Amino acid sequence: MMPNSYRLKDGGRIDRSKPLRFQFNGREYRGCQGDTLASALLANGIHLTARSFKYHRPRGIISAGCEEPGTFVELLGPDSSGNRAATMVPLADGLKAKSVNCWPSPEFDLGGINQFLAGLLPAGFYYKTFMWPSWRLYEPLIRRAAGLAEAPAGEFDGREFETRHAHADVLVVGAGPAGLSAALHAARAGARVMLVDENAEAGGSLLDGRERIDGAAPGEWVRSAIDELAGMNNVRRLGNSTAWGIREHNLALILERGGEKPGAMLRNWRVRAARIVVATGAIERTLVFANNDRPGVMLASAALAYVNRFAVALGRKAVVFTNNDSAYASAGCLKNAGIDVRAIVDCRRNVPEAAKLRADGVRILRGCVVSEAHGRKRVSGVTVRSRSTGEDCESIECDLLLHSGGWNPAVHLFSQSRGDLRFDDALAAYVPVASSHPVACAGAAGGRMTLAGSLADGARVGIEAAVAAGFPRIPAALPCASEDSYSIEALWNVEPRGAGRKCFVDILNDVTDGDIRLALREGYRNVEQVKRYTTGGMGLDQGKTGNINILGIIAAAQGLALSELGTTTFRSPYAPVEFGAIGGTRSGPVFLPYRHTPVTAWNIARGAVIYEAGARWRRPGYFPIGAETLDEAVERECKAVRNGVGVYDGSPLGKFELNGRDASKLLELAYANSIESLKPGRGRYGIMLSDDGLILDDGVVFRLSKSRYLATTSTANADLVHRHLEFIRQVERPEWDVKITEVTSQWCNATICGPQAREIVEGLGTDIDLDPESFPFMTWRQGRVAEFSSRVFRVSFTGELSFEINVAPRDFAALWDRIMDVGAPYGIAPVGSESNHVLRTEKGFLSLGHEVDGTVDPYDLGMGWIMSGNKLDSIGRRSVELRRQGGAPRRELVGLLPLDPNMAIPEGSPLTPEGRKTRTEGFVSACVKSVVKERWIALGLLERGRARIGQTAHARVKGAIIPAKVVAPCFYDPEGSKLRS
Amino acid sequence: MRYDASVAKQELQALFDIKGRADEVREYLAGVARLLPGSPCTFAADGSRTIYFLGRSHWLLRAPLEQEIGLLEELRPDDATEELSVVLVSDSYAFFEISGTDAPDIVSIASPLDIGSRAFPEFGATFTEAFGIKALLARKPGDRGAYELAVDRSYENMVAEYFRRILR
Repeated sequence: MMPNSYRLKDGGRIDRSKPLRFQFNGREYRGCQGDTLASALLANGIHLTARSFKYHRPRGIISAGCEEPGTFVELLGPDSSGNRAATMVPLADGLKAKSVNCWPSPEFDLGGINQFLAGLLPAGFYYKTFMWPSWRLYEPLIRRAAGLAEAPAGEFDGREFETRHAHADVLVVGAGPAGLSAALHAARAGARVMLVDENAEAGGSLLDGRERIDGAAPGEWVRSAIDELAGMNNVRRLGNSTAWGIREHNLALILERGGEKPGAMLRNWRVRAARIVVATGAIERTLVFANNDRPGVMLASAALAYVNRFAVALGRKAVVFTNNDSAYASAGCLKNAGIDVRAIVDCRRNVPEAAKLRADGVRILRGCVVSEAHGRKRVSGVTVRSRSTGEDCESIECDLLLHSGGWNPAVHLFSQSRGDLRFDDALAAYVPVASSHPVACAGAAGGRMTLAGSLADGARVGIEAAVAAGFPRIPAALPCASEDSYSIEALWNVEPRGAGRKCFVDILNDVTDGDIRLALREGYRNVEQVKRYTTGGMGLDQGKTGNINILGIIAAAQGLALSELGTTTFRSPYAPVEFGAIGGTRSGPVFLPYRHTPVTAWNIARGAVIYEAGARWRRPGYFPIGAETLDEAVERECKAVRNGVGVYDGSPLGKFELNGRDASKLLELAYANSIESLKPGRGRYGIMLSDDGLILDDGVVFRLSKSRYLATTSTANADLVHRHLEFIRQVERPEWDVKITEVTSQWCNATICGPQAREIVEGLGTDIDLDPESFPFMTWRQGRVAEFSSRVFRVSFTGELSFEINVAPRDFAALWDRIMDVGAPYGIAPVGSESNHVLRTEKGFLSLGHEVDGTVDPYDLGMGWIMSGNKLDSIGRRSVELRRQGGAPRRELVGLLPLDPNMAIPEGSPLTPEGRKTRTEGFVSACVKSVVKERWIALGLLERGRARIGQTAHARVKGAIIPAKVVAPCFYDPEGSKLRS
Repeated sequence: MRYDASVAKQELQALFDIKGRADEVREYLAGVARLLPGSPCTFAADGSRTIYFLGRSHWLLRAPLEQEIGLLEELRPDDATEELSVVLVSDSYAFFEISGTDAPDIVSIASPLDIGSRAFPEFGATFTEAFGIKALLARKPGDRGAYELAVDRSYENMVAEYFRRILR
């Protein structure tokens, strides 16, 4: 067990009475309740915590927040999770973590050899260096070498993922001074407020600093604000929750870790807010100089957090390098904690007196920069260069180098909401201007860099948000807070002296200033191009600390002002999000939606092979008996239908009732053929066209009474047809009196088919006269079958005599059992969708997704007769006529008989002239082993196919050409006597 | 169980889908339900019968299953005027009742609907989405509150599995 050698004796917000044990890279350490993994490691003196992504350089902890670019860890055991910023992992007893990008350890990493191969690995090296003989040869090795953490494997025992919706009048992101002020004022106005913060404890920067509010420590004000918010029932507060994206219509995505209910480890909130207040503060950025990535080189703001919040002394001898005022507070903080602050190196010649006072007594080297950090696994000193002479002027020994390149308002979420930014010269940063959505920034996120300014701005934005959401305007009530100065002089990089020294602009992705210049030299001049070429600003940290330095270097190289350059696009996620949280409860058996009929359980018990067959219905593909193969089972089922009787569950077919005075008119418009002339009690096959005259769907329409119809659709297109009909009703013809009611699930359908179907229905017992004269094909009757109230339809998809018995789902399982009992002596077979495919192909009936592929009209399928000549209009009719007037050759439905009867042609195979490798003239839409022809038969769409009947077409498949005779597209009962029997 | 809530699948009930102009529907239903909801997206319960007013011209009448035959005789859907559409849909929907202190949490996991009291008060009823599919949601009155969620019956097993996963 390592001692907490860098833990301060006093101070901090950790609980020293609750020690926690944890493991890092297999060694055991001790931390305290309230620590993060990063603070606990630093308290144990562990600065070398990782290796870098590409060069495997030693890396340490750089920040104290979600902006961390240096140390990502892999959590092990029950907490297994990859690529978590060590700064954002709350320490827990028994936590196990290991470094990424290194083997066997960060101290000794074999991948470190990359540092000596750096010359071979510039930006974009994989686009040009590893191309011979093939990139594929090198790719696995390179990916493995650069892979960060492994994805967690196995089950997540006891872990819960959840997605959840919420709504708010005002969503406040960030519970720092501005966020708390905004939430308080919006909530006091009566708005429904949701306040989220990525930390467990509210307060934001107030937790780290030493400012005063109303003359007291800021914690007092934070506590009072939280207490007031907790007492309001119109406020919901989430801690440990990171807003990681804003989508259209103010949909905010928030990842909550832990959560208010035990066991819910990760919860992804989808929050619709009338107004969003982005109070995410500002992020300190790095300075770019040689070896600015060495362990022990940290952001100045991190020192405030580690000393004041976590009571960690980061080193013994420190140097601070800055271009702005804020780092002086960090220097003062270290000094107060007993750390020897050797010097503040400030690139500015003039340092405001107020800044100096924050680090009273510390030596200031004005007009100087740190040109290089020394040390390898831990910083050991710095070289200071005078800006006026350009010469190195001093070396300072240290084990801690704090640096601050200024502050960027955290405008990521604002920008995602399509908010515009402008470059502010005074702040040397991009600040928000206006959003096209009701999203506003407050506090430091809006460019207000002082505490008093943040509190006032938060109040103003909170009040405005509430007013905009419909609540009364209330007066601002502000505490008294300090108005510290903030000034900055932009410094984008310090030129290294000598070759081989790396100055990192993107520490996570190992992108150097040299890489940026290389990209510019190679012609990638736009910031988005540079980003993609170098990967600068991408990845887990999304370039939070360094992206602006990249922009600064590009602007300087091109002689542009940053206001002329623009930024790259801010994208979600703002911080890494687990896929499990996005999926939520939608995993395992409900990963894909599914629908069942009342006999799904029967099908499964019978051993059916079940899969989705359109519109999310789980249907039986086939019913193997014993060791039957697919082909054997399908042949048996088909023979039962052709020679005896079979039954299938047709419940998923779409069904819609249309009622009203103008129902006929609507159907007349929707279908290509005439429906209006249909008599009550009769049905008619119909085809529906899209606006561009292509087949949308087919089905049978029955007239139930004068103004009531039942329209059936294909299973897969039921929703599409419903939308289509409703669009006509609501948009195209709102004046028509039509009501559409979906009844797909109100009627289940057992289709009894085969020569002996009538005997089965009779055997079930019915009051319907089944005689073909009184109950002919394409009619329907209402009555009782097997004592169940039924609608029986005489239609056929198999080409056989068929009765579709429709009953309420409550009766369907019982009806099914009765059918199987009555049919048993006849050898009735349950039939799956595979057999249906064979039977309909034999008959030449079209199938959605096969012959109807979105490119055909009725003429193409030999169904020109359906384009009723006496109709004035229907949707798609004009498009069909216009297209056909063009006279271009069309692909037409034909039958195909492989010359070798035992040769199958894979469905989808292209048809080409003589099987040559040339433009296709069609494709095979279906190919089945016919039980009536006892050979393989096929359907296909072939250019000018009908004129080529008798000729030979050629299917081109991998390694072979299959010749097939072109025949009429019907192989069974072309007169239709069977189905009419 | 992480939530103080329970989900119970409801028994099959008689359900009629009614479409037509509000005044005509009110007149048509006057004989079978005394209390009718006054505005869309609300429901009214009258003894054992519930009327949902779901849109400008869309209503649902719900009653115990044993009343189905009697209502069929009273309403005579097949003989309704051309101005009205009356369709028996008892089997089309599967109803789930969600109750308990955390019932709103469960509904918020299932559905993106704003169920805050201002947007969706007691006696609220509307079609929305639950678990990615179309659903009817109703908020029952009472201090503890309860919700009813109805989905197309073909999704009954899937929705039940979703609830099981949430409540485990």
